[in-house]
Amino acid sequence: MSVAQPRLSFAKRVVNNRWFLRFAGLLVILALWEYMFSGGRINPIFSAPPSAVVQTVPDVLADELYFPALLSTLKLFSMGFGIAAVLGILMGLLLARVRLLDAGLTPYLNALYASPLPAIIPILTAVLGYTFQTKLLIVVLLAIFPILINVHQGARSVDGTLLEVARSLRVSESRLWMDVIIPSSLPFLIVGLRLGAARGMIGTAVAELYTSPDGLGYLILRYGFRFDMDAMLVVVLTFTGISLLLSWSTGLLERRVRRWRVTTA
Amino acid sequence: MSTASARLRQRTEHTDWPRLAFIGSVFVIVLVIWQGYVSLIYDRPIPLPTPGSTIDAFIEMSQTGELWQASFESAQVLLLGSIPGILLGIVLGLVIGGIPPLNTSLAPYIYAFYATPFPALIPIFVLLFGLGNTGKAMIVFTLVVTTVLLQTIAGVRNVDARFLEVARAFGSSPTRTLVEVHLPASMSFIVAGIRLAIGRALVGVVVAEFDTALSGLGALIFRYSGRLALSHAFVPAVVFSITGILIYVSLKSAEKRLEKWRQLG
Repeated sequence: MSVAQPRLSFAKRVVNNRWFLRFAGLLVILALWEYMFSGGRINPIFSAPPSAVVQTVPDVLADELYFPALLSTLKLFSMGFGIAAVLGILMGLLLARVRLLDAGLTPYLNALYASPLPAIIPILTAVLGYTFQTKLLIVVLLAIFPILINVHQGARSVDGTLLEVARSLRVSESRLWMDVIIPSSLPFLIVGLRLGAARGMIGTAVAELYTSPDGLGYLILRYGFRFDMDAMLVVVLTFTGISLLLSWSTGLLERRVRRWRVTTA
Repeated sequence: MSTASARLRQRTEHTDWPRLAFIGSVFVIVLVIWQGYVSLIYDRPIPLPTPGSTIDAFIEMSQTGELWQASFESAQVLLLGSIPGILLGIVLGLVIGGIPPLNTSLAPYIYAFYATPFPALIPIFVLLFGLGNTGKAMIVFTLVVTTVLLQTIAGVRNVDARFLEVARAFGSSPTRTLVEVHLPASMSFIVAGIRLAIGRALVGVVVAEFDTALSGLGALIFRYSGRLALSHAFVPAVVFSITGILIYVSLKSAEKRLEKWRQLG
């Protein structure tokens, strides 16, 4: 916003409507995409210009496998994310509360967060088999760390004044948690949930493509074997849609909580 | 500035030895429990990796040279994709972030692409660019460009308005302002972008190598897991993990320093 200021006089006249700009941007991107994928620049088997992708949408939706696949993907994601959220919050609070655990484990949790965890997927499937539980474990492993780490940070960064006031009023431990620590770490929790949901979707996609194929991941592979690039892209766009919906809704929650926090401070 | 560096020196001089010793002993305890569990209690037919067997596998794989060969292949893909990706990401980010109408019209779509769970795109890249290094490097490149691009835009849009006013008052040209004001002022965002990008790229490389199972550390993990030689599969996974952690730690510390420097202004 601060950047816009000196340029405003230039920008003001050219564009006032951001929806116009967004529409124009979309048109340019679609035109470029169409240009790149048509006219024999790419092997016609793999050619997937937007015009063809749009025409394939009804076919993919009519595929009797599509909606069951979507449901199965949503089920895997929401179960994995739910487990990650509950465990992540509990472990994050526990770490913030017990100093010994914090000192001993936090470096390792950060290390796991920085590691490319999908590297152990073949090992997990070898040990646990090609089961739903393996997939669930992959989603949980990817989604849990941002949640855990953010809750931990949030619970540790509670305003000292608030804690002092609570102590001087001799607030009980449980009320201290309910009324001070949890509310003030809520913004951190929501950031953690947003990041965790994004990573959870990555985990879902990896699990569905690289263990026993299932859900939307299976559809991508199936259309891939037929070299049906248009249909593959429709499925990928479904993944995009789910992720955007998740990021949009958690973003909304984030803004709401932040506003609420400002008014109470 | 001098106080900041003095504080930094003081911090490094007083290493918290008891804390480090505690963290180290937690590591040893976890390894002992792990080794003990697998060799004394675990009795299912699939041999789990233990710290001991992993070290044996590491020695064997480094003597035959396959570990180094595979590391070299993975590193090649990673560098081939990420260096051009970082450079292009910064340049595009400066341009798009520096021109507000361009940002309004393009950023939503870049974000939508970024939000797509990227493993779902890997089969498409393999179809388009083949099973060789080109396809994998393209995956890395795409992941890195989008991540660095979005972070650079965020950095450019957070540049202190005072700097821009000064630049304008001295009659600096827009290009010069972009290179000499926006670029250094958004350095901490760019480094954060590179850190996130490499994290995603590592996952991209390992998953793409599963997909093709031909070369690189990912292929080693995949093949050894298939033969149930899980200790051998675990070694390349650890290499990936250490790479991820080292990159995370070094870029994070650079980021913190740059952020401090940015806020001094």
